[in-house]
Amino acid sequence: MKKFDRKKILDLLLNNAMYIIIALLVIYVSIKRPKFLGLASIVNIVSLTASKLPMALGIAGCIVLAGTDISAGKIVGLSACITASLLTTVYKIFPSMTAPLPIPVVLLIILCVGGLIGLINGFCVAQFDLHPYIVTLSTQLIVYGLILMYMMLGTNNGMALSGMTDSYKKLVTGSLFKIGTVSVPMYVLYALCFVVIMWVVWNKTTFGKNMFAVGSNKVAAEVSGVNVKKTIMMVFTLAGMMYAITGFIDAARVGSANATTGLNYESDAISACVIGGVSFVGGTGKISGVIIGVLLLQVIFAGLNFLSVNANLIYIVKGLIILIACAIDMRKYLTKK
Amino acid sequence: MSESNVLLKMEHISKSFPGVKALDDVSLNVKAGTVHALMGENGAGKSTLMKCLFGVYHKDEGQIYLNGEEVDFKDSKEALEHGVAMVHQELNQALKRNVMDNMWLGRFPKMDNLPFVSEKKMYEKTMSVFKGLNIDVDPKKVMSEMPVSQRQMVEIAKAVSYNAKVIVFDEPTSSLTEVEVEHLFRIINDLRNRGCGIIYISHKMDEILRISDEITIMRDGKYITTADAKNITMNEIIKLMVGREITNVYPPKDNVVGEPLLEVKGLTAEYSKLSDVTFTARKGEVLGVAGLDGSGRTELLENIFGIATRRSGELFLNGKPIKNANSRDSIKNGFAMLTEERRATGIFGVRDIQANSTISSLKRYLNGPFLDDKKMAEATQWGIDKLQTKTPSQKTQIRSLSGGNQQKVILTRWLLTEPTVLLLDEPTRGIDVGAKYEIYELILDLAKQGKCVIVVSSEMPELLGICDRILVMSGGRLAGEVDARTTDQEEIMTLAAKYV
Amino acid sequence: MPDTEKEKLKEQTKGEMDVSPLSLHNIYKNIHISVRTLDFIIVGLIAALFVVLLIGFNNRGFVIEFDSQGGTPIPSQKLMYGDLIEIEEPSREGYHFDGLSRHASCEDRFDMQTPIDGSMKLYACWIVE
Repeated sequence: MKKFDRKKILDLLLNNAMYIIIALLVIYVSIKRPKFLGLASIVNIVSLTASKLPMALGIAGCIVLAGTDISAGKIVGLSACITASLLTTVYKIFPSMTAPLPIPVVLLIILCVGGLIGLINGFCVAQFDLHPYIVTLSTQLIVYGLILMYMMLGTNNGMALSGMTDSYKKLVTGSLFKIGTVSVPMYVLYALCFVVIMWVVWNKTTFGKNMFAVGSNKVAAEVSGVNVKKTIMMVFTLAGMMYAITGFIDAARVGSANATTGLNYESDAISACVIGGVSFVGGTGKISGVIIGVLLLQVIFAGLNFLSVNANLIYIVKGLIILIACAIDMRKYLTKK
Repeated sequence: MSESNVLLKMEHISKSFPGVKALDDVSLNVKAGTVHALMGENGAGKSTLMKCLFGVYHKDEGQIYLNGEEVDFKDSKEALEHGVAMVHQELNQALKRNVMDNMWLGRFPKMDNLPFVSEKKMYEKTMSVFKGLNIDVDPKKVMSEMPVSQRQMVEIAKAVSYNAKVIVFDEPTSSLTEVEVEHLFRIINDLRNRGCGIIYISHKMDEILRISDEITIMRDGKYITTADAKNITMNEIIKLMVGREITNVYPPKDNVVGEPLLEVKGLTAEYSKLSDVTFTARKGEVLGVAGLDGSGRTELLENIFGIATRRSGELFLNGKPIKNANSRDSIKNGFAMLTEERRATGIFGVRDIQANSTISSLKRYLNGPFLDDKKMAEATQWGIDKLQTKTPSQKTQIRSLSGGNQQKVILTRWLLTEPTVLLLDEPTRGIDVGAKYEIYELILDLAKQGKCVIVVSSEMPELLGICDRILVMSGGRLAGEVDARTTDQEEIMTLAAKYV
Repeated sequence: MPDTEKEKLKEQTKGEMDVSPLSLHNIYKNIHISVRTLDFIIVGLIAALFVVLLIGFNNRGFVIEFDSQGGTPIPSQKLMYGDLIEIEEPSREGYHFDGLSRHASCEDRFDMQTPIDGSMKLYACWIVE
């Protein structure tokens, strides 16, 4: 009986290893640096979470399909660059411009661009039955080339784009409300809106149900009358649009955009999804899980940053976290067999 | 019989999983030189018992003795080294490698003085094992190029090459033709004569009665009895297995065959052997499709349902031409299809019962642009009640249900699309006797409602028991059509061999 | 029917069976790894993570590098989160020092009152005397 108990405890420990590690880290950081649990720090973590959320919500759909999307970061970069070049007061990319474009027009443009690249990803995955890894590996190179060429347009010569219009900055980073002296930026509200939209799409539409069915068993979905190809293409298109919005927010949040904007964002988003229980097995996952995943990941990064841990080392930590999260996830599906 | 004769002895084995007692004080004695059949409905604990033997699960209580010595294997490799082998239902083999690689995997014979693998030695050793068993397989052939039956032979040869004393056969005949079954039985008899103890797990009663010497019956994780195979009848076994007497294996047929509903004319497939199939199915009719494995039975259904590419042929529903270009089109036309490979092409394993039930009929639950949870829950509950699906709740993952209940959920999925023509491919494969009966009842009930049910099955008594007419396929062609009431198995077999 | 004929039928139909869209089930293989092996992998990875974190905690600090852009060199500094940068003013013949910038082009100035939250490189800016 005692042995049985020990096994149970081990099970519990391993299945929740990720959360335990994070809890330990939070305790350690808050002892060393009590300010970590201060209001400013918490608002900072929440804002960072909000800025990464739309992207993670998009990529989560691809993971539910038992796939992945590694072109995400580059699409974020492209949309950030387009936004920064059109909503600007210094017309470097398009010297013939005399006034910034209206914000809704820019939004529409980047949604079309992001959606189109997503559609190309989805088309290749669905029609040629290629693995999403290979498809998005190719498209991310193509998109990166496009970003570099775009940045060379006009008089810009590849420099970082800054000097964005005040109305755009205010729309994204303006104060939603203030807690004491700390202000919560507007994009937290937008992130909440996208959470609601994606929750409805995932849980309340035929498209959402079909997406889970395709991810869980593609052949069975086809037999059951699900339009598998259309579903895959729609998931990737939607994901592309979410990346575009992340880029739109990021350009204003960071205050500038260049060819390296969005670099490695996809690895953060993918690890957030896996920590949050969106499994690579396919067909499982919840919106709430994605939110928790992104939040926990930002807690880790903010904590390490508070401890002044070298940025180079954080890459290694990120890699290990993805591996651990995947192994734990796999464990859950093994024990149930 | 003396104690010393007992080769493998499992005593008072118990095993619990959270919430379930999977094995409750089960004992099993396998004597040398006998075939010992292990019988029970799905979920009776047969596989769990074997998994305890091979160390996949740790038994909570009980002892296992091999040749009088207590053993406790950590994994199947250790068991194999002690001479306890298993021939799996689903073969675990390296399909891209050749026969001898698979036989000697993990213990390749080495060259005399060098640490390199000796192909020559491997070939000779393989041939000598094959000769001893009368197996005619080329050791250099790649596994994936061989039919399942031959791959199974290799698995048996592998067990013999380990000098196995106890060999477990788990559903070995489920994908074999009758000729292959004969060959397998010859080998099993041979092994028996060599003094091996054989544990034989199968659902097929006639096989059990033919091959086994002793029969142990389990029910709900409990040991029921061990009997001499000579002194027990099929009905007695069924009675002991299900714990109740099934007076009629098939429900009474009282469906009325009506007007022609579906006409198939000259159906020819692009990528399979199926050619020029013409038949008519009527309202309220249960139409059987018989034939050997690979005779085009499954392909016929796939082509009607539009999930395989058609080269030519026409379909008429109620006299009107229909296309059935893909599965969505077919569902719109009132077709439903239950596929043969439930796990691979039927269930959405990680999804719950509700998602699995409603996926094909989602449009019916739309409330404006959004799905109505209440309507979906009602529809799912209707299915659970109607088919008496045993599930803890609608939110249970389907992979945790037994095969029979999974099949009921998939049937619910199709009933919810309100079909008029149901195409059922092996609807009772791998499910227990009780659930089988319930599915037969459902099929006949659907026929009574004026629907047309087309059933493909490799179990001939089943077709004879529930169908009105039977189409016999052979070599991709329609070999004939027989009346289920007047025909017999021999006539069907003769037709099935017509175009071979 | 003779045995050989049935064998022949099976042989003949084998190839076609593989083309059928429903025979894809071969790819749905179970993951062949035991829970115990996986547990060891997980524990190993967690140990690796702890080692990396330990290294990180023992080599804490952000590196701030400086490019004096022609002036007297400024040594790089290792600072903790939230610290402020303090430097000795560099000098350059014919110019006077006009603060630090994140960009070599000196289009904006770095506010020395900003708490540090990461490694970075700063450029000295000069104005002709």
